[in-house]
Amino acid sequence: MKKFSVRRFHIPRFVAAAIVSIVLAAAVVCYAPALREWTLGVLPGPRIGRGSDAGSPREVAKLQTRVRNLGKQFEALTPRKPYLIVDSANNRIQLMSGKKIIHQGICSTGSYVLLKAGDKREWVFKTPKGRFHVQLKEERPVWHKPDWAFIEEGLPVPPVGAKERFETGVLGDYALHLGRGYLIHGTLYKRLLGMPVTHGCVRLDDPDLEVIYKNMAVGSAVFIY
Amino acid sequence: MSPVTAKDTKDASVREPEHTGGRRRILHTMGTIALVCVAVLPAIAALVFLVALPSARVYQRGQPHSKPAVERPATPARDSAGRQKDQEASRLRRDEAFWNARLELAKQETISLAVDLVDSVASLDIHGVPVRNCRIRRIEVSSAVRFLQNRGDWRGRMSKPLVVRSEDATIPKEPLRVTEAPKDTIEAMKLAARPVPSDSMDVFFTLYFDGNLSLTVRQFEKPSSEGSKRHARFRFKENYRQAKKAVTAIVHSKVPQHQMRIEVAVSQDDAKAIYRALGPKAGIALRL
Repeated sequence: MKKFSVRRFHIPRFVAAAIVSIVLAAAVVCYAPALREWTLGVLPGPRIGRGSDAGSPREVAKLQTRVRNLGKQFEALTPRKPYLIVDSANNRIQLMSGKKIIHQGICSTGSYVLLKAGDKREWVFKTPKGRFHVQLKEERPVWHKPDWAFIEEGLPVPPVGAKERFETGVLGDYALHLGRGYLIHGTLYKRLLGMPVTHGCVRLDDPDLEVIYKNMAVGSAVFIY
Repeated sequence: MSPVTAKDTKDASVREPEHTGGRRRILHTMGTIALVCVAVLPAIAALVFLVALPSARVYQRGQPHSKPAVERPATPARDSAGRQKDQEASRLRRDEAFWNARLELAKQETISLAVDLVDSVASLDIHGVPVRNCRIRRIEVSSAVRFLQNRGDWRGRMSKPLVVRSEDATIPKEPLRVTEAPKDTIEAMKLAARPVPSDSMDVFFTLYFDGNLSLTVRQFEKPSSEGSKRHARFRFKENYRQAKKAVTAIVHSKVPQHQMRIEVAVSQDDAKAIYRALGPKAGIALRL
């Protein structure tokens, strides 16, 4: 039986040693984080209760009170009035009262389409995130179509105030204005609910919209994430 | 003196085979040992600089410097009760730091994340209102955290929000789709008829903070085959980043610092929602 040997391939010993050396060092570099974790895992942990950590019963009682107060302070930040939470990543809504969910459903939020008009104008259709407040409530809203609505449909853009810019019935029965032109409204495209298809507004199904319209007052908080 | 021929030399070697062969063998063995020593030297140096020294530094930092405030009698029962109280105090101080950080985040305009490893909950907060509570299914915390979490400076750090310095993820933050405006209504109708692309992707992301601390959030569900490849690339990138940092530190004659990793597994929907909700330089509160 033939033996495998370095000599057989005429690799000098020092070259073989250099290769082994590089491979070993590289392995240590690659596995260093894991080796450190292992080393720290087997070392005995530090002792608690020395110096500033020493907990007298009085100190513990004080700390307990402080922690309880901080928790209460945080809880007080939750609105007392009903508020709406919109999950734009999964297209879901929750109408809340305190910590209780009073209604939940699906919605449609921004499509993340970047529309390029060709004349250096472009729009990104995304739903803004953060805290908003209902600024205006409207029944049977009329949509005042912006430029992108015409560009997107391949139509010529009419002048500002032209009657082609006003469309009724497409926003459902109610609309809640959040500012900067963003609305919570109804839709004709119910099969697209639950998908990211809007131009930034929050579209809801009619029954959900009605519940939200009735529960949310002007000034109510809307949290979008 | 007769000249030495090749035949004579051959004869000489035939005459002293054992003596010369033995010396050669010894020399060969010694040479091999020396080579092996030289070969493992870089690996040993790497072990010292990349493993031993950073670990020793974390270990040393974790040791209390001050003497006990009150010397307690060494009776076992009293000692155990005292230790419990100390642990309770330590836990409460960590809780206090967490609530302080969360309240600080409530003052900010951006969406923040509160990771509570004690109750296994990750919560997205907007102005102090928890808008999404995600159950943490699995937690892995770096051993280094055990050494540092009870230190005063660590608690001081945790009582302020951690700010995301950089991040790495398998999904885009904003799944933008570029569309050129249609020339006419026929083209517009074709565009409108396009199906809405699916956005279900395997989610893994890491947020890096100051002080060599990182938080990895991964989906609990098993990834698809494509997701596994993406995850492997994601892990490779992470390891490469660490190795690069370590080598850079050595080049600058510094001891590399240990990256303290906290890894949590949540559902895919939760992971996606958390990643997409957090803006650049988002604030995080951590309860350990």
